[in-house]
Amino acid sequence: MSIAATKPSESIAPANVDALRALVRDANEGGMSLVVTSSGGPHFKGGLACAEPHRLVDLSSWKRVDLIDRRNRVCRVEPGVTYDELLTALEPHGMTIPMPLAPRSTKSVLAAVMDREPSTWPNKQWDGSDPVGSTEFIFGSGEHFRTGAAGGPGSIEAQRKAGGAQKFSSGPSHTDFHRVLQGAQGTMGIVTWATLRAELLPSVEDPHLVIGDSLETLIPYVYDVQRALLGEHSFILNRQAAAMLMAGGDPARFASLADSLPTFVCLQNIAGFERLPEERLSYQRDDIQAHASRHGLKLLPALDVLSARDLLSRSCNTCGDLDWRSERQGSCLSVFFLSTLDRAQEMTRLFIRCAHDHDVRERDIGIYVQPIVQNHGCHIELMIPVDPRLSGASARMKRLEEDAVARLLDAGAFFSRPYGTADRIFAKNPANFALIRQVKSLFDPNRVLHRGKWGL
Amino acid sequence: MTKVRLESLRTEMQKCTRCSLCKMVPMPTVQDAKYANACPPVNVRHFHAYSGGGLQVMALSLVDGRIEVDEDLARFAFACTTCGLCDVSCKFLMEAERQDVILALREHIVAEGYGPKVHEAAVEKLRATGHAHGAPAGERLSWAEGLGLKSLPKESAEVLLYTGASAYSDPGQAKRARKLAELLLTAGIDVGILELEPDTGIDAFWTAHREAFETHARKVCDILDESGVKKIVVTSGSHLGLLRAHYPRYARAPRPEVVHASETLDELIRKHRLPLPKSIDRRVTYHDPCYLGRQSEPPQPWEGEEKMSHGVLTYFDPPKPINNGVNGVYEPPRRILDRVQGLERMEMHRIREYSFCCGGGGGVPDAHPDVAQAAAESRIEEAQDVGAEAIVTACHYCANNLQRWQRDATMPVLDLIDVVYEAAGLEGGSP
Amino acid sequence: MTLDDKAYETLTGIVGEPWVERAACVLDTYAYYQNPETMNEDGSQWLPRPAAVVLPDSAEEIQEIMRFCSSSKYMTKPISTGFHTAAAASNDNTIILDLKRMDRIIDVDEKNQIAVVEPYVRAIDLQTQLLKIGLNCHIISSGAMHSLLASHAAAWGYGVTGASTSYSGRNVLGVEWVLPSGDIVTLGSAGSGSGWFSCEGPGPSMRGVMRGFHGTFGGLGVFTKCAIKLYKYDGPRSWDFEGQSPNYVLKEIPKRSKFTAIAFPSREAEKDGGYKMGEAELNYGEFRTPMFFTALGLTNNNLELKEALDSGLFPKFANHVLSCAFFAASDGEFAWKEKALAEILKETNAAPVPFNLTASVRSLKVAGKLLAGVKDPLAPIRKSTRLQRFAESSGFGADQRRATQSRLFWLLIRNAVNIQAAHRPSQGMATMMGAFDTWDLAHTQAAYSAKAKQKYIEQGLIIADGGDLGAGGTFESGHLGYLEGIIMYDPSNPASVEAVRDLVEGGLRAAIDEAMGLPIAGFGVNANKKLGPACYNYDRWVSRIKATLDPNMASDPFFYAEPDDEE
Repeated sequence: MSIAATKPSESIAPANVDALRALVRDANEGGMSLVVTSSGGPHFKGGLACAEPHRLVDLSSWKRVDLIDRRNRVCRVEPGVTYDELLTALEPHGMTIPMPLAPRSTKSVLAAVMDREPSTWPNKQWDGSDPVGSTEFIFGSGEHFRTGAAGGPGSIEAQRKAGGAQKFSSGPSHTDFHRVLQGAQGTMGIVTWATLRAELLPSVEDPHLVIGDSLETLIPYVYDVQRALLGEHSFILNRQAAAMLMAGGDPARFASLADSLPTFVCLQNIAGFERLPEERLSYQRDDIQAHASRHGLKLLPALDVLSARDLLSRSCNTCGDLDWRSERQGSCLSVFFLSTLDRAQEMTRLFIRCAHDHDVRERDIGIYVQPIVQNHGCHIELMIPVDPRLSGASARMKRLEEDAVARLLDAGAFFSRPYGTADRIFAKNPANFALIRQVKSLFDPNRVLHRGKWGL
Repeated sequence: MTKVRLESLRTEMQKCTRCSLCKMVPMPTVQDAKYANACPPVNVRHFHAYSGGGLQVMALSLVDGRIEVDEDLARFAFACTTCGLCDVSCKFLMEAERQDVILALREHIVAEGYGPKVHEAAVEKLRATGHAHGAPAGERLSWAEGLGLKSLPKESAEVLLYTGASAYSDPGQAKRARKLAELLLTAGIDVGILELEPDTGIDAFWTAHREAFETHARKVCDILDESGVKKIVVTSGSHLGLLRAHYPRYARAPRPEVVHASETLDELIRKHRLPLPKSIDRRVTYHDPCYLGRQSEPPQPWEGEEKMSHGVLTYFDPPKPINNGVNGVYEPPRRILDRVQGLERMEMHRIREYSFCCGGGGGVPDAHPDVAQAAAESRIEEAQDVGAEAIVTACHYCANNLQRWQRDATMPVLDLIDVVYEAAGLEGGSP
Repeated sequence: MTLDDKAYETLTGIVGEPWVERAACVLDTYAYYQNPETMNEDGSQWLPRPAAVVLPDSAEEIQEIMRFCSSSKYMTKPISTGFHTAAAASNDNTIILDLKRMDRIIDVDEKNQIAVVEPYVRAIDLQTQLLKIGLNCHIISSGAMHSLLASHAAAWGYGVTGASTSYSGRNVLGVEWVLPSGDIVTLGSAGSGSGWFSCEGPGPSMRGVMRGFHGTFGGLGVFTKCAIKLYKYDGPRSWDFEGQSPNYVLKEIPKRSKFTAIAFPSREAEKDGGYKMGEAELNYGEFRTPMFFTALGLTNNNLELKEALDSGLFPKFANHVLSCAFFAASDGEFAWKEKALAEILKETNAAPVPFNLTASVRSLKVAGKLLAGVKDPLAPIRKSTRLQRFAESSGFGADQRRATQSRLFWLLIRNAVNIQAAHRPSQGMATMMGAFDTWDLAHTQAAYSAKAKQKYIEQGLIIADGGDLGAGGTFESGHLGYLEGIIMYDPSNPASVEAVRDLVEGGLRAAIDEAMGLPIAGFGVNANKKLGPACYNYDRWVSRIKATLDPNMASDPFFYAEPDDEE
């Protein structure tokens, strides 16, 4: 949903880091604010909206994927690399990468990971900042920095010669600046590359679906399996969200899925890798089945209208030029936040009640629940497809969003990635925001990076 | 001399790595975090200075001339009950003598005139009369009336029953002495007692009046030697540790073998010389007294060198025997209790060589009563935690301190001798 | 300078009189830490005597103290268990905040695998509770008596279960932080009233200035609560042990558990093995125990250790040993892990060290003589899985095997014996290198350390440990790895101390010159000045952060940063 925005005075695509630094220097010398983008459009979260005069810095043409290292399961990407490009580059090395749920084809990998977008492979995420390894970035002040192992000593080449792979994310020393950059939506620094933790490509996969009438039915099972670090990709969708994802914009297909799917569906991927893959898959399947049985659930390879394999495939690939959330009606209200899995039912019911107060039916709400950080938290996303051409639709959704965010905040939802009107979100932790201001004054003393965003 | 002795222990002090393991039981033994801590003053007062490690550092600081002996140093050093837990915990991982440093530090503080004043009266009386609680007058042996015990050294006997003069000042100990005598007689042991029992000097020992203790201990050894017995059976665990472990270090060991009542009773019971026909239906737990347990290991003479090899690897050649508390008297009391019909024995969390001190030793009840109280309360709580209805122990200092701080006597404290006496059916007359 | 009377009155007014000490003897117990000789120019074992020691009981009390320090000449230095020189005050205007009274486990959320702790909750305290419910926390390799909060929020974070429980700095899910100004901020979800499950956001994560690879070691305020990530634990939830100090032995080795020490034939094989085991997600605990550590772990005193080394056996088979533990939740999982391990052993020509053979001094002496002409005593086991199975499961030597497996349980799971390794041999332990990135880089550093130490070994100034005493392992299923070069020295010998200084300093220079990563000792004012220019001037950034968040120097800067003086 949109916030107040001015159009950029121009869009510039610097060719390299030196050119980028020159832009930043100019901005510091009294030039306009800079708003940076790496993904191709259409953008729908409103993160680029800037009320102040600004120039748009477009890094989407920076397409390098290199330092692909199978032994250390790591690679490096520039801002413009998309998921298709990255997956293609990694596959010959027997690797892949945890990724968000079916991102659009123009989505920048770097932008996604720097925004802490959740991936569908929760047990590979050890820390909230994963899969980010080291980064290179430009401070708002124009200074150049590298975080993590890449921070030195030595050049990348020298480090590699010594056996390093720029994979460790913390440092140098007392600093963890990549965490400051993540979630900052371009207000603290401009990342010029990042190394990413890669994973082995499964040699064999046997995805399943687990279905339930409610989140409460599925959640205990998910807790058990995730705690045991069993299985691979896993997430929960309600029938609307599953239909949105799988319909590919086809209304008939959407209707068929929405009518036929169970209320909730959980994807449970099970895999074997290079070593004894079939045996691994076998014991994992047995163990996961045992967990499912304990909760009165079954592992199903397919339903009449949907196979697990199709769902897995769809979720682990890009969805096309348009985000799948927007495929149904052209746009989508997406309210997302973090909580713990045991509160997912409560939070979603609260949103549904709020939506009802704004005349939105439950059957029109998509629900996506994604365990994160090895299920130490979960991403909860409520989606309402919207046709922006309809008169008043956008305004109505804006009111709903504000109301929902307020109610969810009061109930303890954690909006770790604030989009839209964020004042209320930051106001929940004023001491933290004061700290953000202080850090901003260090990283970007002249406020050249996305000036005015969040009041910074 | 006390300064010289302290300085000679500098290497031991320097072995402290400030790991704080001295504040707790050896980590493999931790089964419940609530009972992982085992240093009485640290549990209450928290400053690192109270701990075994803290005392090492303060001693080092003194030896290095960074501090002087003063009231502050005394305040911390005498909050220690000298229970030796820190010594055991440290020795789980290191070859270092914590207790030696602590005792030497305290002795030096006293020698410099800064020992707690509240300890002085007892030591003065010990010096003047040979008894810390005053020379016993009149009916010294009334507790032994009618038992027909031999009077030593005039007569001869196999075994000397020795209360360490505690029977003179502690009515409970007097009763206990009679009970033990009856038990030994029932088992056919030829028992004698001294007409005037010498004080063991424990008040001087664990208030660190070294010279007074050394002088007194030598006299006591002479008296005990003159008794002519082969074996001395002591009634209290604290006296066992003193005589077996510390007398040899400070003066000399008495010639007769010194054993604790539990060791003798255990042997008698196992050899079927002391039947236990009466059932006692109770859930009890056994509290290991420090000086019956870890503090009762006699010094092991060692003649060797500390050498270096492989650069700076230090080792003792021949291997230096380390007293790490494991050879204390642990099994006999347990075996006895396990043979009493009807008795259910539960183990506490902090036991054997890592038992938690009751707070009754080291002169702490007088100098730092809050520490003594907190230790006792913690121990009682621990006994309750394991489901015991009563604590059994084998040291009158432990029994007294554990009983003293109970507001409502929720956890009776029994002496092992009392339990055996009852189980033997001697309560209310012969069986 | 001891605390002046006015300051004393202020502090006693905040925390109560029993909780403030300025007696010299007490202050000195906070001026002595583990092996500081290598840090002090004069080789002294003493660090600066602080002005006072204060024991607060709450964040609010600390807040008042910080405000007082902000407006006075005094500064604070918080310590929890204080088991490292980094706990020391750097000057005599520093007030030590001993956080021992703040020892509460605030919450254990079993379902979401999160614990919230105060500063003096030791790892052993929390782990004892957690293991009973099938969970575990990350414990650092100094041993389980350390403060969890200090490790997670303010220090380093390497531990022997890194393969499965990561690194402390990566396990932080929230902190309550008393800033040098006295303001209290709670980072992440807890600060927004959402519960303790995430330290990131909203928006940019201030966890990024709270710590990095290194923490701030008390140089940027005081942490009073920390939420830490917990992990599954499929090992025994309770156990009985027998024996006496120092040999406590499990009565039974639990079902579906494996404790083993894998001897690789070469460094290359060990590197490959680490990666393979990581990818297979085999190990729960993993710690490199090269020759000297293997010998140390199998002996009870230093004479035995000497004899073990003299036997000549250990360099033949134990130069590249990884001691490992793994568990499984099901028979299927366990069978798979065993099969995977067997494959890896074959691929790397590695062999499990037979635990059923007694490592007494006598037997080692005899074996040493008998095998004097044998290059690889483990060759028969390397080649024969039958022999491996025999060593692991036969009745022969079963008690000995159980005793050795127990030692690994205490080391790798309970972290109960770790100090022994560090200080029993010569009472002095130092470390060099230890940068964190890949397992390959770890070995580059270990090889460098081994080479650099030779000169001093030959001079008899440090323990002749074979040179390579690289300690550490792989982390997060082999994604990361580290090895720190341990040096055993004699703290009473100035030449030995000097040798350590040279090695650590040399290691720092080599790390810069040969791009071997930022060392474990790369923190604090002095080291930052040396490393900063080679690492994008991070030293200037932390100085700026210090100047911004602590303009009045309420926190002792020494092990973190001094304010930037260039502006």
